[in-house]
Amino acid sequence: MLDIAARQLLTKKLRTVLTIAGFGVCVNLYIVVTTVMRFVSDDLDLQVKRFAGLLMVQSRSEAGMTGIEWPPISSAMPRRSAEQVLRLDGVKRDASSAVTFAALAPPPFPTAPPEALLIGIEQGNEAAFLGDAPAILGSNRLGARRGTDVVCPVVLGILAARHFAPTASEIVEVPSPVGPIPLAAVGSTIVVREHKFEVQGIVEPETNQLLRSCVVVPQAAAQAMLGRAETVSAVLITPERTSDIESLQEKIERDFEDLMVINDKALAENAGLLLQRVTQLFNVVRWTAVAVAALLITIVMFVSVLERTKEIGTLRAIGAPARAVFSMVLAESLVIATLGALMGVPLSRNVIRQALGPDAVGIRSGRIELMAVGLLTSFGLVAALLPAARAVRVDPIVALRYE
Amino acid sequence: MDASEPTGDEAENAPLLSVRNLGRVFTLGDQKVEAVRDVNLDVHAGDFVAVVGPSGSGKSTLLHLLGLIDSPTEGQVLLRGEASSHLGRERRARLRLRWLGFVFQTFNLLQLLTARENVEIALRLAGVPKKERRERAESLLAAVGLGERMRHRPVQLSGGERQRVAIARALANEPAVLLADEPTGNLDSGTGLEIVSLLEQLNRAGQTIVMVTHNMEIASRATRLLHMRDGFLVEEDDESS
Repeated sequence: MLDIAARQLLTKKLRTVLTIAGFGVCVNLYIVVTTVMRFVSDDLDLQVKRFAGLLMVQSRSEAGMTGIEWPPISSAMPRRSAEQVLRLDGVKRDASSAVTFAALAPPPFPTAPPEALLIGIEQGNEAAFLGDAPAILGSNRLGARRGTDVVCPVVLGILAARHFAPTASEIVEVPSPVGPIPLAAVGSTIVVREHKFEVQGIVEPETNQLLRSCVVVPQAAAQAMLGRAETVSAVLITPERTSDIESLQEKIERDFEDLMVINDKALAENAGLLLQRVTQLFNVVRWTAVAVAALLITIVMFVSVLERTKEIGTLRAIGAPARAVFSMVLAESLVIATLGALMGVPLSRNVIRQALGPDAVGIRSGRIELMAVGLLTSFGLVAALLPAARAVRVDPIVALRYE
Repeated sequence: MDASEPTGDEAENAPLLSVRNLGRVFTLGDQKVEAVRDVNLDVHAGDFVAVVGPSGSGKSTLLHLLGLIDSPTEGQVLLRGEASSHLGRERRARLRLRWLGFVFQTFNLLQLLTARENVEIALRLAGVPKKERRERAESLLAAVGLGERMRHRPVQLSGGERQRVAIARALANEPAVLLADEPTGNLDSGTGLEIVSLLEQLNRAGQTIVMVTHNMEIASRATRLLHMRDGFLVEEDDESS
């Protein structure tokens, strides 16, 4: 019956094309949202892993979706308090630093950090934030040039390097699965809020979203740029020994009432909670796409069955069994769903590439595409059951009188 | 041998289609309309029966009952000796597909399909293999004079040609009885006569036919003429007497 279904669809070309396109958009939406969900989940995992074993001290705040703002952009703690915290016993000084966070560009998609995130950090202590993340170009350290020089050093994440490429004095193109990406070149000068910075290096992109978007500059330069000489956003602490974490946390919370300490466990819980809320939202979008696709098939097939009452009645009159009529309607839905899915998959790849740019590297998943195609096609077939049952119930006598 | 079982001669002479005390009442709001009343009829192999009557006399309803498309409210239809009219929808559909062929006034061809495919559809529903059904469809279309038009769609055919395709489709599964509902009703008189000539040829070749028509000239070509009036069936002989 597939051939008859295909011919039937060809007689109503515009309606067929619009239905297939509608179904394809739903498949696309499902794939994109699921892919972004997985990306966010993986990225939060990476962030938690990166900050494992660290303590983050910030001002008490109820900001953020879960009570912990991450990164703590709106946190402001006195510089003096930060210095006192850093002098405590058990703090590994060369891997700990006061940090200033500020958003320089909006996030590329909800739940993501800003596309360019200013990280003001003590020179020589960049490991407190960057850890051992390697550089793909240049160095992953700010180097010896002082933060108070006319041209300050900066280390960029790949998203930030792309963000500043249009205004950089020199660019470099790096290959990627989504095509060559223009980046601010190592040694080039970029301008951030009217301050000049020389790019020292670009951090490896296979890290987490925070590191991909970072604009790491000397603390002094960040404070000058933001006009916040007496405050910092947070203190990142690497303990001398892992066993020091709890005692250090207790001491800070006891001695500094206006500060809060976040350990990796709290960060993981925070990430889990954030992920749960985001997943709820994404699930609403995903299942809405499935429902719309199914509804589309139901409506179109109902209309098709009504239009073909005479034809279906004739088939029943000459002896067509119910299953033949039933399968004819299902075959038509299957053609629509399959073609829609075939359209939706490449569309989703394009949308992901356009929306996420360098982040699209390795994000596309054949498993998600296959799952989306299977799920939506199945729902499309289930949605066609009602019109198919209606077709089977067509009374041949009524149909034969139908003119 | 059971005395109730028919002997060879009895079986040979048994009617292909019979109706006993057949009645069909339609309910329209509060009103009950008796479309067919107490009809008794036997159709034997080789008969060419024409049922005539004015509009609303119940002849199409009778044909639908004979063709197992509709179910009677009283009495029963026996197809090849078996009570068939009260079977379930799917069993009746199977019987229609295997033993009955239908020709409708408005042809009722599938517009998407070519003439050959329209004939093939009946064979396809019966599960005939592709090669065989193609050969049979081509042979049937050639037999009704459409050997050169089998790749045309219904819109590309004249009314007479469409009805020939419908006849070929009705014959596809070698039905015991061909049921024709006003087969010339949508055709001009010349084409109508051509179609009835074709039915005559088929009958001479052994095909049993029951035809409903309001046209006496067409009906007179049948071997048995029955009149319907107000739902009652009257044999021609009875009427003439």
